[in-house]
Amino acid sequence: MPKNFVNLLTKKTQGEMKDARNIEFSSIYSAFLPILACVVWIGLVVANGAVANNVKIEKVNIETQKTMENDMTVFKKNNGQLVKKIDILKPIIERDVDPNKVFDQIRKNLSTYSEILSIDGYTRKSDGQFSFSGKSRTYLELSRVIKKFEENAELKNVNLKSISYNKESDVVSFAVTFYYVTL
Amino acid sequence: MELADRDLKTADEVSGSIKNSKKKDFLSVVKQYSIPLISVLLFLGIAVISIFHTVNSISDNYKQLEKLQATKKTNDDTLKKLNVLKERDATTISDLATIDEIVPSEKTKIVGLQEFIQNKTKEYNLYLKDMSIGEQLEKISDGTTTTKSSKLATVDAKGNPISLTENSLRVAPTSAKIEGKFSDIQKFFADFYKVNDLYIITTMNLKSSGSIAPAEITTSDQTWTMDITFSKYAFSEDFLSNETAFTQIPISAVPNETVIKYLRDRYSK
Repeated sequence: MPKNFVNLLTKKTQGEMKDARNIEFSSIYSAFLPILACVVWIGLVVANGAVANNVKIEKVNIETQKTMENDMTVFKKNNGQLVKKIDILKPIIERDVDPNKVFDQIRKNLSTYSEILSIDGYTRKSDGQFSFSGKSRTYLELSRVIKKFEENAELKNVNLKSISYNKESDVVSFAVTFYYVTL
Repeated sequence: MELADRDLKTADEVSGSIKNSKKKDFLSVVKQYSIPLISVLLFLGIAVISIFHTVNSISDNYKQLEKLQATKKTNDDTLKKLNVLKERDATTISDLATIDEIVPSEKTKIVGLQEFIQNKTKEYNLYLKDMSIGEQLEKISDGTTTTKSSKLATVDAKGNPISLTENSLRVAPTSAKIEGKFSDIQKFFADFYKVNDLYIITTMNLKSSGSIAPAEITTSDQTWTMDITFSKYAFSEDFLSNETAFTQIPISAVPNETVIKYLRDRYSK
Protein backbone atom coordinates (compact mmCIF):
# COMPACT_ATOMS: atom_id res chain seq x y z
CA MET A 1 0.00 0.00 0.00
CA PRO A 2 1.40 3.43 -0.90
CA LYS A 3 2.75 5.52 1.91
CA ASN A 4 0.41 8.34 1.27
CA PHE A 5 -2.61 5.98 1.33
CA VAL A 6 -5.42 7.01 3.59
CA ASN A 7 -7.69 4.14 4.72
CA LEU A 8 -11.14 5.59 4.97
CA LEU A 9 -12.74 2.25 5.99
CA THR A 10 -13.70 1.94 9.59
CA LYS A 11 -11.65 -0.52 11.62
CA LYS A 12 -13.28 -3.55 13.40
CA THR A 13 -13.83 -3.04 17.05
CA GLN A 14 -12.16 -5.32 19.63
CA GLY A 15 -15.54 -6.96 20.39
CA GLU A 16 -16.20 -7.72 16.72
CA MET A 17 -12.77 -9.23 16.38
CA LYS A 18 -13.32 -11.39 19.48
CA ASP A 19 -16.68 -12.58 18.12
CA ALA A 20 -15.06 -13.41 14.82
CA ARG A 21 -12.39 -15.43 16.61
CA ASN A 22 -15.02 -17.26 18.66
CA ILE A 23 -16.97 -18.15 15.54
CA GLU A 24 -13.77 -19.40 13.97
CA PHE A 25 -13.03 -21.63 16.99
CA SER A 26 -16.64 -22.88 17.08
CA SER A 27 -16.42 -23.89 13.47
CA ILE A 28 -13.27 -25.84 14.23
CA TYR A 29 -14.89 -27.53 17.23
CA SER A 30 -18.02 -28.34 15.25
CA ALA A 31 -15.88 -30.36 12.88
CA PHE A 32 -15.44 -32.83 15.72
CA LEU A 33 -19.20 -33.50 15.95
CA PRO A 34 -19.29 -36.07 13.12
CA ILE A 35 -16.19 -37.69 14.58
CA LEU A 36 -17.92 -37.86 17.97
CA ALA A 37 -21.03 -39.32 16.31
CA CYS A 38 -18.87 -41.92 14.59
CA VAL A 39 -17.19 -42.82 17.87
CA VAL A 40 -20.58 -43.16 19.61
CA TRP A 41 -21.88 -45.20 16.69
CA ILE A 42 -18.87 -47.52 16.76
CA GLY A 43 -19.36 -47.92 20.52
CA LEU A 44 -22.98 -48.81 20.01
CA VAL A 45 -22.13 -51.25 17.23
CA VAL A 46 -19.69 -52.97 19.59
CA ALA A 47 -22.34 -53.09 22.33
CA ASN A 48 -24.89 -54.45 19.85
CA GLY A 49 -22.39 -57.09 18.81
CA ALA A 50 -21.97 -58.12 22.43
CA VAL A 51 -25.74 -58.39 22.96
CA ALA A 52 -26.18 -60.27 19.68
CA ASN A 53 -23.42 -62.62 20.73
CA ASN A 54 -25.23 -63.29 24.00
CA VAL A 55 -28.41 -63.97 22.04
CA LYS A 56 -26.50 -66.54 19.97
CA ILE A 57 -25.09 -68.15 23.13
CA GLU A 58 -28.54 -68.32 24.73
CA LYS A 59 -30.00 -69.85 21.56
CA VAL A 60 -27.33 -72.54 21.65
CA ASN A 61 -28.01 -73.10 25.37
CA ILE A 62 -31.72 -73.47 24.73
CA GLU A 63 -31.07 -75.92 21.91
CA THR A 64 -28.88 -77.95 24.28
CA GLN A 65 -31.60 -77.84 26.92
CA LYS A 66 -34.17 -79.05 24.40
CA THR A 67 -31.94 -81.94 23.43
CA MET A 68 -31.52 -82.84 27.10
CA GLU A 69 -35.28 -82.57 27.62
CA ASN A 70 -35.91 -84.87 24.67
CA ASP A 71 -33.42 -87.36 26.06
CA MET A 72 -35.28 -87.36 29.36
CA THR A 73 -38.80 -87.70 27.88
CA VAL A 74 -38.78 -91.36 28.86
CA PHE A 75 -38.64 -90.42 32.56
CA LYS A 76 -41.53 -88.01 32.06
CA LYS A 77 -43.50 -90.72 30.28
CA ASN A 78 -42.85 -93.27 33.04
CA ASN A 79 -43.87 -90.81 35.73
CA GLY A 80 -46.97 -89.78 33.74
CA GLN A 81 -47.92 -93.42 33.30
CA LEU A 82 -47.55 -94.09 37.02
CA VAL A 83 -49.51 -90.96 37.99
CA LYS A 84 -52.30 -91.83 35.57
CA LYS A 85 -52.50 -95.49 36.59
CA ILE A 86 -52.46 -94.63 40.27
CA ASP A 87 -55.24 -92.08 39.76
CA ILE A 88 -57.31 -94.68 37.94
CA LEU A 89 -56.66 -97.36 40.53
CA LYS A 90 -57.28 -95.15 43.57
CA PRO A 91 -61.07 -95.66 43.71
CA ILE A 92 -60.53 -99.40 43.27
CA ILE A 93 -57.79 -99.61 45.89
CA GLU A 94 -60.07 -97.73 48.29
CA ARG A 95 -62.42 -100.70 48.10
CA ASP A 96 -59.70 -103.28 48.65
CA VAL A 97 -60.68 -104.34 52.13
CA ASP A 98 -59.88 -107.61 53.81
CA PRO A 99 -63.32 -108.86 54.96
CA ASN A 100 -61.76 -110.53 57.98
CA LYS A 101 -60.69 -107.11 59.25
CA VAL A 102 -64.29 -105.92 59.03
CA PHE A 103 -65.62 -109.06 60.70
CA ASP A 104 -63.10 -108.67 63.52
CA GLN A 105 -63.91 -105.00 63.99
CA ILE A 106 -67.61 -105.74 64.27
CA ARG A 107 -67.17 -108.73 66.53
CA LYS A 108 -64.75 -106.93 68.88
CA ASN A 109 -66.97 -103.89 69.10
CA LEU A 110 -70.09 -105.91 69.82
CA SER A 111 -68.79 -108.66 72.08
CA THR A 112 -68.37 -106.30 75.05
CA TYR A 113 -72.07 -105.47 75.01
CA SER A 114 -74.02 -108.25 76.62
CA GLU A 115 -77.35 -106.94 75.42
CA ILE A 116 -76.40 -107.26 71.78
CA LEU A 117 -77.92 -110.64 71.18
CA SER A 118 -76.75 -111.61 67.73
CA ILE A 119 -75.20 -110.82 64.42
CA ASP A 120 -77.31 -112.15 61.61
CA GLY A 121 -75.44 -111.10 58.54
CA TYR A 122 -72.87 -108.98 56.75
CA THR A 123 -73.20 -107.30 53.39
CA ARG A 124 -71.11 -105.24 51.05
CA LYS A 125 -72.52 -103.00 48.36
CA SER A 126 -70.86 -102.20 45.06
CA ASP A 127 -69.99 -98.69 46.25
CA GLY A 128 -67.87 -100.23 49.02
CA GLN A 129 -70.34 -99.77 51.84
CA PHE A 130 -70.40 -102.49 54.49
CA SER A 131 -73.30 -103.29 56.72
CA PHE A 132 -74.18 -105.79 59.37
CA SER A 133 -77.51 -106.71 60.86
CA GLY A 134 -78.32 -108.10 64.26
CA LYS A 135 -80.53 -108.05 67.29
CA SER A 136 -80.31 -106.13 70.51
CA ARG A 137 -82.24 -106.38 73.74
CA THR A 138 -82.41 -102.60 74.24
CA TYR A 139 -82.23 -99.38 72.27
CA LEU A 140 -79.78 -97.98 74.80
CA GLU A 141 -77.23 -100.73 74.19
CA LEU A 142 -77.62 -100.26 70.47
CA SER A 143 -76.96 -96.54 70.77
CA ARG A 144 -73.79 -97.31 72.73
CA VAL A 145 -72.67 -99.62 69.95
CA ILE A 146 -73.29 -96.97 67.32
CA LYS A 147 -71.29 -94.48 69.38
CA LYS A 148 -68.41 -96.90 69.66
CA PHE A 149 -68.42 -97.48 65.93
CA GLU A 150 -68.47 -93.75 65.28
CA GLU A 151 -65.42 -93.31 67.48
CA ASN A 152 -63.47 -95.87 65.45
CA ALA A 153 -61.11 -94.02 63.12
CA GLU A 154 -61.05 -96.87 60.61
CA LEU A 155 -64.78 -96.61 60.02
CA LYS A 156 -66.49 -93.70 58.31
CA ASN A 157 -70.09 -92.65 57.75
CA VAL A 158 -71.47 -94.96 60.39
CA ASN A 159 -75.27 -95.02 60.12
CA LEU A 160 -78.07 -96.90 61.71
CA LYS A 161 -79.77 -97.98 58.53
CA SER A 162 -82.84 -99.67 59.94
CA ILE A 163 -84.28 -100.38 63.33
CA SER A 164 -87.42 -102.22 64.38
CA TYR A 165 -88.88 -103.54 67.63
CA ASN A 166 -90.56 -106.93 67.87
CA LYS A 167 -92.95 -106.87 70.76
CA GLU A 168 -93.43 -110.62 70.87
CA SER A 169 -89.77 -111.50 71.19
CA ASP A 170 -88.93 -108.21 72.90
CA VAL A 171 -85.89 -107.59 70.69
CA VAL A 172 -84.71 -104.71 68.55
CA SER A 173 -83.58 -105.65 65.06
CA PHE A 174 -81.09 -103.30 63.47
CA ALA A 175 -78.74 -102.80 60.53
CA VAL A 176 -75.68 -100.60 60.66
CA THR A 177 -73.85 -99.31 57.59
CA PHE A 178 -70.34 -97.86 57.33
CA TYR A 179 -67.34 -97.51 55.08
CA TYR A 180 -64.00 -99.00 55.92
CA VAL A 181 -61.10 -96.63 55.35
CA THR A 182 -58.38 -98.34 53.36
CA LEU A 183 -56.27 -95.35 52.37
CA MET B 1 -2.20 16.89 -14.26
CA GLU B 2 0.16 14.56 -12.52
CA LEU B 3 -1.64 15.18 -9.32
CA ALA B 4 -4.98 14.33 -10.93
CA ASP B 5 -3.60 11.09 -12.37
CA ARG B 6 -2.19 10.14 -9.02
CA ASP B 7 -5.53 10.78 -7.37
CA LEU B 8 -7.33 8.66 -9.92
CA LYS B 9 -4.85 5.86 -9.43
CA THR B 10 -5.24 6.08 -5.68
CA ALA B 11 -9.01 6.00 -6.04
CA ASP B 12 -8.75 2.84 -8.19
CA GLU B 13 -6.49 1.24 -5.65
CA VAL B 14 -8.85 2.08 -2.80
CA SER B 15 -11.78 0.72 -4.78
CA GLY B 16 -9.84 -2.50 -5.46
CA SER B 17 -8.93 -2.75 -1.86
CA ILE B 18 -12.57 -2.44 -0.88
CA LYS B 19 -13.53 -5.17 -3.37
CA ASN B 20 -10.77 -7.46 -2.02
CA SER B 21 -11.90 -6.77 1.50
CA LYS B 22 -15.53 -7.72 0.64
CA LYS B 23 -14.35 -10.90 -1.07
CA LYS B 24 -12.27 -11.81 1.96
CA ASP B 25 -15.27 -11.14 4.24
CA PHE B 26 -17.50 -13.37 2.10
CA LEU B 27 -14.95 -16.22 2.14
CA SER B 28 -14.58 -15.74 5.85
CA VAL B 29 -18.37 -16.02 6.37
CA VAL B 30 -18.48 -19.13 4.19
CA LYS B 31 -15.59 -20.59 6.16
CA GLN B 32 -17.14 -19.70 9.47
CA TYR B 33 -20.67 -21.07 8.77
CA SER B 34 -20.35 -23.81 6.18
CA ILE B 35 -18.03 -26.01 8.20
CA PRO B 36 -20.27 -26.02 11.31
CA LEU B 37 -23.34 -26.45 9.10
CA ILE B 38 -21.84 -29.43 7.29
CA SER B 39 -20.59 -30.83 10.59
CA VAL B 40 -23.98 -30.55 12.23
CA LEU B 41 -25.68 -32.10 9.19
CA LEU B 42 -23.18 -34.95 9.18
CA PHE B 43 -23.66 -35.39 12.92
CA LEU B 44 -27.42 -35.48 12.56
CA GLY B 45 -27.13 -37.83 9.59
CA ILE B 46 -24.94 -40.25 11.50
CA ALA B 47 -27.07 -39.88 14.60
CA VAL B 48 -30.38 -40.44 12.85
CA ILE B 49 -29.40 -43.15 10.40
CA SER B 50 -26.71 -45.11 12.16
CA ILE B 51 -26.98 -44.48 15.88
CA PHE B 52 -30.75 -44.71 16.11
CA HIS B 53 -30.72 -47.77 13.92
CA THR B 54 -28.06 -49.39 16.12
CA VAL B 55 -29.87 -48.40 19.32
CA ASN B 56 -33.04 -49.98 17.92
CA SER B 57 -31.11 -53.08 17.04
CA ILE B 58 -29.63 -53.21 20.57
CA SER B 59 -33.10 -52.79 22.02
CA ASP B 60 -34.50 -55.61 19.86
CA ASN B 61 -31.59 -57.89 20.66
CA TYR B 62 -31.90 -57.11 24.34
CA LYS B 63 -35.60 -57.93 24.31
CA GLN B 64 -34.86 -61.16 22.47
CA LEU B 65 -32.12 -61.90 24.99
CA GLU B 66 -34.52 -61.34 27.87
CA LYS B 67 -37.04 -63.69 26.27
CA LEU B 68 -34.37 -66.31 25.67
CA GLN B 69 -33.14 -65.98 29.25
CA ALA B 70 -36.69 -66.43 30.52
CA THR B 71 -37.07 -69.51 28.30
CA LYS B 72 -33.74 -70.80 29.54
CA LYS B 73 -34.84 -70.34 33.13
CA THR B 74 -38.08 -72.20 32.45
CA ASN B 75 -36.11 -74.95 30.73
CA ASP B 76 -33.71 -75.05 33.68
CA ASP B 77 -36.64 -75.61 36.02
CA THR B 78 -38.01 -78.28 33.70
CA LEU B 79 -34.62 -79.98 33.57
CA LYS B 80 -34.34 -79.88 37.35
CA LYS B 81 -37.72 -81.57 37.63
CA LEU B 82 -36.76 -84.05 34.92
CA ASN B 83 -33.60 -84.83 36.85
CA VAL B 84 -35.70 -85.57 39.91
CA LEU B 85 -37.82 -87.91 37.76
CA LYS B 86 -34.61 -89.46 36.42
CA GLU B 87 -33.37 -90.09 39.94
CA ARG B 88 -36.55 -91.84 40.97
CA ASP B 89 -37.11 -93.60 37.64
CA ALA B 90 -35.93 -96.95 39.01
CA THR B 91 -38.57 -96.73 41.75
CA THR B 92 -41.16 -95.61 39.21
CA ILE B 93 -40.39 -98.59 36.97
CA SER B 94 -40.58 -100.91 39.98
CA ASP B 95 -43.98 -99.46 40.98
CA LEU B 96 -45.21 -99.77 37.40
CA ALA B 97 -44.08 -103.39 37.35
CA THR B 98 -46.08 -104.04 40.52
CA ILE B 99 -49.14 -102.41 38.99
CA ASP B 100 -48.71 -104.32 35.72
CA GLU B 101 -48.52 -107.50 37.76
CA ILE B 102 -51.78 -106.92 39.61
CA VAL B 103 -53.61 -104.98 36.90
CA PRO B 104 -52.39 -106.36 33.58
CA SER B 105 -53.26 -105.38 30.05
CA GLU B 106 -56.60 -106.62 28.75
CA LYS B 107 -54.67 -108.71 26.23
CA THR B 108 -53.01 -110.63 29.03
CA LYS B 109 -54.72 -113.87 29.85
CA ILE B 110 -56.18 -113.40 33.27
CA VAL B 111 -55.79 -116.44 35.41
CA GLY B 112 -59.22 -116.90 36.91
CA LEU B 113 -60.24 -117.31 40.44
CA GLN B 114 -61.91 -120.56 39.55
CA GLU B 115 -59.07 -122.77 40.70
CA PHE B 116 -58.49 -120.79 43.85
CA ILE B 117 -62.16 -120.83 44.85
CA GLN B 118 -62.53 -124.53 44.08
CA ASN B 119 -59.36 -125.50 45.95
CA LYS B 120 -60.00 -123.35 49.00
CA THR B 121 -63.65 -124.25 49.43
CA LYS B 122 -62.58 -127.89 49.31
CA GLU B 123 -59.69 -127.30 51.72
CA TYR B 124 -61.89 -125.55 54.29
CA ASN B 125 -64.94 -127.78 53.93
CA LEU B 126 -67.04 -125.08 52.37
CA TYR B 127 -69.78 -125.93 49.97
CA LEU B 128 -69.48 -124.22 46.63
CA LYS B 129 -73.08 -124.09 45.53
CA ASP B 130 -72.64 -122.04 42.42
CA MET B 131 -69.99 -120.14 40.51
CA SER B 132 -69.89 -118.04 37.34
CA ILE B 133 -66.42 -117.31 36.09
CA GLY B 134 -65.77 -113.94 34.61
CA GLU B 135 -62.87 -114.35 32.25
CA GLN B 136 -64.42 -111.95 29.78
CA LEU B 137 -63.38 -108.40 30.34
CA GLU B 138 -66.12 -105.85 30.28
CA LYS B 139 -66.06 -102.13 29.90
CA ILE B 140 -66.59 -100.23 33.11
CA SER B 141 -69.10 -97.45 32.95
CA ASP B 142 -71.01 -95.43 35.45
CA GLY B 143 -73.30 -98.40 35.84
CA THR B 144 -75.91 -97.54 33.28
CA THR B 145 -74.99 -100.13 30.69
CA THR B 146 -72.93 -102.85 32.30
CA THR B 147 -73.62 -105.37 34.97
CA LYS B 148 -74.26 -104.15 38.46
CA SER B 149 -71.35 -106.07 39.86
CA SER B 150 -68.86 -104.27 37.68
CA LYS B 151 -70.23 -100.87 38.53
CA LEU B 152 -67.84 -98.43 40.12
CA ALA B 153 -68.97 -95.95 42.67
CA THR B 154 -69.20 -92.35 41.55
CA VAL B 155 -68.50 -91.08 45.06
CA ASP B 156 -66.07 -92.39 47.62
CA ALA B 157 -66.68 -93.21 51.28
CA LYS B 158 -66.28 -89.55 52.20
CA GLY B 159 -68.77 -88.49 49.56
CA ASN B 160 -66.11 -87.02 47.26
CA PRO B 161 -66.62 -87.60 43.54
CA ILE B 162 -64.27 -90.16 42.06
CA SER B 163 -63.07 -90.30 38.50
CA LEU B 164 -64.73 -92.81 36.25
CA THR B 165 -62.41 -95.23 34.58
CA GLU B 166 -64.64 -96.30 31.73
CA ASN B 167 -62.04 -95.91 29.01
CA SER B 168 -59.05 -97.11 30.98
CA LEU B 169 -60.11 -100.25 32.76
CA ARG B 170 -61.84 -103.48 31.97
CA VAL B 171 -63.35 -105.72 34.60
CA ALA B 172 -63.93 -109.44 34.88
CA PRO B 173 -66.51 -110.19 37.57
CA THR B 174 -66.66 -113.65 39.15
CA SER B 175 -69.65 -114.62 41.25
CA ALA B 176 -69.91 -117.49 43.70
CA LYS B 177 -72.32 -118.89 46.24
CA ILE B 178 -70.60 -120.56 49.17
CA GLU B 179 -71.93 -122.18 52.32
CA GLY B 180 -70.13 -123.18 55.48
CA LYS B 181 -69.07 -122.29 58.99
CA PHE B 182 -68.09 -118.73 59.69
CA SER B 183 -64.59 -119.72 60.83
CA ASP B 184 -64.02 -121.57 57.56
CA ILE B 185 -65.22 -118.59 55.57
CA GLN B 186 -62.71 -116.52 57.50
CA LYS B 187 -59.93 -118.94 56.56
CA PHE B 188 -61.02 -118.71 52.94
CA PHE B 189 -60.78 -114.90 53.08
CA ALA B 190 -57.42 -115.03 54.86
CA ASP B 191 -55.98 -117.04 51.96
CA PHE B 192 -57.78 -114.94 49.41
CA TYR B 193 -56.22 -111.80 50.79
CA LYS B 194 -52.75 -113.32 50.58
CA VAL B 195 -53.06 -113.83 46.82
CA ASN B 196 -50.60 -111.49 45.18
CA ASP B 197 -53.20 -110.14 42.78
CA LEU B 198 -55.74 -107.38 42.89
CA TYR B 199 -59.18 -108.87 43.32
CA ILE B 200 -61.83 -106.67 44.82
CA ILE B 201 -64.82 -108.04 46.64
CA THR B 202 -67.39 -105.99 44.83
CA THR B 203 -70.50 -107.25 46.54
CA MET B 204 -71.07 -109.66 49.39
CA ASN B 205 -74.09 -110.95 51.22
CA LEU B 206 -73.24 -113.22 54.13
CA LYS B 207 -76.22 -114.49 56.07
CA SER B 208 -76.45 -116.73 59.07
CA SER B 209 -79.01 -119.51 59.19
CA GLY B 210 -79.84 -118.49 62.77
CA SER B 211 -79.01 -115.95 65.41
CA ILE B 212 -75.51 -116.16 66.90
CA ALA B 213 -74.06 -114.09 69.73
CA PRO B 214 -71.16 -111.92 68.56
CA ALA B 215 -68.69 -113.65 70.86
CA GLU B 216 -69.63 -117.08 69.52
CA ILE B 217 -69.53 -116.37 65.81
CA THR B 218 -66.06 -117.81 65.22
CA THR B 219 -66.68 -120.94 67.26
CA SER B 220 -70.25 -121.67 66.25
CA ASP B 221 -71.13 -124.51 63.85
CA GLN B 222 -73.95 -122.46 62.43
CA THR B 223 -74.08 -122.46 58.64
CA TRP B 224 -73.60 -119.23 56.77
CA THR B 225 -74.54 -118.59 53.17
CA MET B 226 -72.46 -116.21 51.14
CA ASP B 227 -73.22 -114.65 47.78
CA ILE B 228 -70.09 -112.92 46.65
CA THR B 229 -68.75 -111.16 43.56
CA PHE B 230 -65.05 -110.68 42.98
CA SER B 231 -63.74 -108.27 40.36
CA LYS B 232 -60.50 -108.56 38.46
CA TYR B 233 -59.36 -105.41 36.69
CA ALA B 234 -57.18 -104.92 33.61
CA PHE B 235 -56.04 -101.84 31.76
CA SER B 236 -57.58 -101.38 28.33
CA GLU B 237 -55.30 -101.58 25.30
CA ASP B 238 -56.52 -98.15 24.17
CA PHE B 239 -55.38 -96.66 27.42
CA LEU B 240 -51.98 -98.36 27.43
CA SER B 241 -51.21 -97.60 23.80
CA ASN B 242 -51.96 -93.90 24.18
CA GLU B 243 -48.46 -92.90 25.25
CA THR B 244 -49.09 -89.25 24.40
CA ALA B 245 -51.50 -89.11 27.31
CA PHE B 246 -48.66 -90.15 29.65
CA THR B 247 -46.21 -87.55 28.33
CA GLN B 248 -48.85 -84.85 28.67
CA ILE B 249 -49.01 -85.32 32.43
CA PRO B 250 -47.16 -82.36 33.99
CA ILE B 251 -43.62 -83.11 35.16
CA SER B 252 -44.49 -81.79 38.58
CA ALA B 253 -47.27 -84.38 38.98
CA VAL B 254 -46.54 -86.81 41.75
CA PRO B 255 -48.30 -90.16 42.08
CA ASN B 256 -50.57 -90.41 45.11
CA GLU B 257 -48.17 -91.40 47.88
CA THR B 258 -50.81 -93.16 49.97
CA VAL B 259 -51.83 -95.43 47.11
CA ILE B 260 -48.18 -96.08 46.17
CA LYS B 261 -47.34 -97.01 49.75
CA TYR B 262 -50.38 -99.25 49.96
CA LEU B 263 -49.43 -101.06 46.73
CA ARG B 264 -45.82 -101.47 47.82
CA ASP B 265 -46.78 -102.81 51.22
CA ARG B 266 -49.43 -105.13 49.87
CA TYR B 267 -48.09 -106.33 46.54
CA SER B 268 -44.34 -105.66 46.16
CA LYS B 269 -42.37 -108.86 46.14
